[in-house]
Amino acid sequence: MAILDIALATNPPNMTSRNMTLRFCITTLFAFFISLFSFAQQPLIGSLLDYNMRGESMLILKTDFSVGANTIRVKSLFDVRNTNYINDELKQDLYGNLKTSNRAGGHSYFGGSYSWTNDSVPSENANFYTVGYQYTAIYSARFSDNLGYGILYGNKDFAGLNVDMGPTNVFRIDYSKLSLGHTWRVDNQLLHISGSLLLGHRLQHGIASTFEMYTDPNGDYIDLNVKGRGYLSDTATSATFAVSGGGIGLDMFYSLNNENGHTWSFGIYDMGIILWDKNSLYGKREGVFRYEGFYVENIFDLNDSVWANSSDSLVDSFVDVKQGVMLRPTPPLIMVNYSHSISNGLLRSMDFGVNYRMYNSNIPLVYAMARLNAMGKSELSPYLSFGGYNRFGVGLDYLLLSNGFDIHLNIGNLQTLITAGNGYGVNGGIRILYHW
Amino acid sequence: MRNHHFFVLLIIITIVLSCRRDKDVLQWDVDAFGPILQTDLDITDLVPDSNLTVDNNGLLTLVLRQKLYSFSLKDIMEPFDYILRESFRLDSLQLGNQNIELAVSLGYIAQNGGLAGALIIAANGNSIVIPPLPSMAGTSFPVDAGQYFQSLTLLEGTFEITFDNGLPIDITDLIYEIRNNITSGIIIRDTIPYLPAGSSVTRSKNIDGVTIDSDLTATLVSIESPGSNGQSVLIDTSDALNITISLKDLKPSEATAIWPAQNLINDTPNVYLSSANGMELTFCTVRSGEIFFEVWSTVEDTIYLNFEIPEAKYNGIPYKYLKTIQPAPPNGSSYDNFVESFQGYAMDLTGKNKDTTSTFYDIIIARIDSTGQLIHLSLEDSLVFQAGISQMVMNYARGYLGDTVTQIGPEYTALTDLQRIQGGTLDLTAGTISLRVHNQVGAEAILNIQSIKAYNSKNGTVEEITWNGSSTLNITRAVELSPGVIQPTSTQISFDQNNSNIIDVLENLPTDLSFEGVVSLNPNGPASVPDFIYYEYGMDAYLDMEFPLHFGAANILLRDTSSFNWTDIDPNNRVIGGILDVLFTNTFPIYLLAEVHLLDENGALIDVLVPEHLIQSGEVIPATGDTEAVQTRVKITVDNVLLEKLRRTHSMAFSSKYSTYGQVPQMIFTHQKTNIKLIGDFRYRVGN
Repeated sequence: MAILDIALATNPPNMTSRNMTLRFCITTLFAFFISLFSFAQQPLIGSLLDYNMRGESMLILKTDFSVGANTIRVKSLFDVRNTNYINDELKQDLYGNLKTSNRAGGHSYFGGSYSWTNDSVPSENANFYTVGYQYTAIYSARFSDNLGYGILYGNKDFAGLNVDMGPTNVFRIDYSKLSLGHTWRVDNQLLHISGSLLLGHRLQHGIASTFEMYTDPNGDYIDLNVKGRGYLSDTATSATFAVSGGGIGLDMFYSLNNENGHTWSFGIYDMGIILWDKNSLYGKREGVFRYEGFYVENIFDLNDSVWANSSDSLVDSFVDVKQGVMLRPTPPLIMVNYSHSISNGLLRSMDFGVNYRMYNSNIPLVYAMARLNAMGKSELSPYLSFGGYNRFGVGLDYLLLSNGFDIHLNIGNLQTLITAGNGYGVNGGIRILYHW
Repeated sequence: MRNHHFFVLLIIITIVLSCRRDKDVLQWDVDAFGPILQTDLDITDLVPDSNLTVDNNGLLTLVLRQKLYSFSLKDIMEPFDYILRESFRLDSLQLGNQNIELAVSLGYIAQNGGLAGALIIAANGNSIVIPPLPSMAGTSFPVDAGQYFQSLTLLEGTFEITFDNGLPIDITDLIYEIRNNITSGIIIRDTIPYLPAGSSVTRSKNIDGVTIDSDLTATLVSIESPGSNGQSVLIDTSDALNITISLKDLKPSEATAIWPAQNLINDTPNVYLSSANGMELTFCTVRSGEIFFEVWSTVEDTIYLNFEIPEAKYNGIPYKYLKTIQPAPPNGSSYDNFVESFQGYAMDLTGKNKDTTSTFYDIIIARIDSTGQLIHLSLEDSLVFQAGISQMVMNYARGYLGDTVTQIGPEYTALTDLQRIQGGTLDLTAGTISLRVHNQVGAEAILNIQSIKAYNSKNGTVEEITWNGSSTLNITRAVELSPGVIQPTSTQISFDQNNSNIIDVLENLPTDLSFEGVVSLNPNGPASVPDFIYYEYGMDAYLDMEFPLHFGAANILLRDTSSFNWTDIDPNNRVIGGILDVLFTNTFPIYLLAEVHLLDENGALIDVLVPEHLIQSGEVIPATGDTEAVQTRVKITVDNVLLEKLRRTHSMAFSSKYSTYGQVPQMIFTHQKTNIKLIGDFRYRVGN
């Protein structure tokens, strides 16, 4: 392994686990540029559909994705996504709007469920059971403009300066959920509770409340003042569905519909904990660390083992890394929605709500939606949103109700599409529901 | 409806796939600035720790030790081999005397005696006068030797027949013969003219080359008697003429016989340790070696072999090997062998009678048992036995090691620590050279030094070390406190700047030494206690050179080459260009002019990476002689041209000229060092 690869924490071959930790500690601070572009946050307006079973059985297939950032335009993100090399122009696009504090993130779901009822006479108030599978990926990052600059341009311009690069929080989790739930429907109330078995695929989480760097004007040393911690699941498993942890989860949804057309919905999703296996790494660092180069015993005998041993020593001196099982929560999503029925005419109802992903670098997303009657069995619902990972957004929701099939389509941040990527987020989703 | 399903599935797949990145590579360039690596060079990087001593002030003294000569058991004694070969042939066998007895009674004779015979029979129990008996026709008796042998073909042998006349009358003209029934051949035919009553006669015949079967016939061809010569004698018809047939002194060339128990081989040969080379050893232990044994046999009988070395003992138990060799098949042979380690045995070397040296003995016995079975043996049969010791090396020997006088050398020794110096001048303030003999041999010796010369192969000069004083070392014997525990002795002779030219010799920067001398072992003859010597622990002569690292140097030139592979540093070609800043922080009171050259796989020059550049010495503090650190930076511009050269480089040649601060003697302390730090100011391509 080359010294320069280690020093700059890119992607050296045959990394040891400790090197992986080092790489994680440094590279995840800017990894969102590379891999987080696919996901952001959007309203969960369609979730009430999941409990609107008609008949004896219901099959749902759904996928949902979102990406957003508050200071990076989607066009820049997709430019990065579509190239192998970030040139100076693209660097400027990425860096140009950064503020002191920036956030980015998103999520991706795909999966399906099957629901059935044991009630002798199915009706709109029949209780039912649900089994389901869902793959969940959640990404987020909070970072400073200085960190962004350092990642894109390097530290040479920081020479002689004490640069504050914090606070920083980079998070990524992928897991699968196998759930079993029950839904009670009594008159105008609905309650759904499901427990789930979680299969952890990967977790990367780095948090630095303090992250300062000083580069000596002559390059003789680099001082890092860091207060932070990191968690890393088994780095040897890279396959999408590889399992390196297990846990339990809980989803809850409650809806109350009074006779005056007011419907309140409350939901907590993705609440859970995962015990990551013994190959996990975790560590923390608080204090000032001076880096003066890898120490080698014999400068005339530089080879792979010298680099590996030196980098291990460096990691040991920098961060107290432990290997073993670790218990970490999954970031739950809290949603509240209020719907007010207005008429059977063009404007059927108005919805207002808020979503918030806990333990994540986002702000509460608030929205307002108008449900419009479109040719009887369908609804076309424009909405406005603000918050989440990005800024202000305009979205469109479409719902088609037929005898057997329901189709729900959602496209958010339309302004991004209209302005050819000059918005700060993009999202979409689709649900297919089949009742029989 | 099916079309509707397909449409939905297509949308899902499209969305899912659109969420996945399809390019794995993403890279960008950064301007990275900072330290890459560092190392410290202290005096131990130039000289091994073991060659340095430190005084209370931290001042270093360099100690260079060269072994000049070594003398131990492995040097004076070759591995020992010996083979003992013994063979046995049938003519070595003993076949005991074979005796067959017959009796011809008076009654039997009377039955063929006509009227006189009738009278004799009638008078049985009474006394009568027996009249003369005329010649009677012969009669035959079967002789069965089958209980002893079946057939004998004799190289040598004697047939013996004894007639014991137990009759009351004399016998005359007794004609007899012994015949082989199978071949009808006559073994013996003879006449006894007169055999008085109560007397006996024995006749023998050489039967060399005769074949004798077990089925024989004895025939009395004719027999006469003068009667009782008128005397009245008591008639007892059971009185008999007793005949004893003996086969004696048999040496068969072929026999099918019942063989008696006997040793075929029985030998106790002395074995002299030929590798002792005049040493009179009384005891040794074996470090390595093998003992082997082979036997070939065509004998159709079981052979019992016993091979012993009674005075070779392992944990007090003598070496002994017992082996049963199975009977050879008819017209075939049997074979057996073994090889085993002889390591760890202790051997008494005073011989069978404890009155000699460097000698041990074997016992070899090969025997057959008496089985009662008829076994066929012939001259063609053989038993060949071969045993011995192979490549026996002693670990320890005791006795008298002799009084040899050995010329040593000239022995040449490379001064590897000094050979790296290519040139320059050295100004030493002090130095000592010692010739030291470390003796772990239990014998006295005298080492007479004839010459010690120092060579500088770089300039072709030779300096002989001269000194005032004795050239002889009297080496006292080591003491063996217990087996394996030696109290060595050390004897040395030293020269320094006051009594020798050692400073001049060392300042000539020698690269090699030669030593010449004579070792006389046991110059006073045998001591009152036995000598001893071990395989590994011997008498070693060293030359120790010590000089305090307080010296002046001017342009001491060192050259070294180190392998180099750019792909170890930048395997993925991520370095695009920039400046490599090499920072030296030096506290040695030595400055140097350094050059670094890039060499290709053939050792040819590619380019000069660093032209001759001055690396400043530490700043000497006059009051203490110690130094303060001084930094020197060497900047190397790394552009595409240099990168291409670095990728072709297989080794780097370092050339350094060292000079002491002010080019006057300076002291080197243990804490002084040079820190080398590589600082990169590179445009570097990052990403995956």
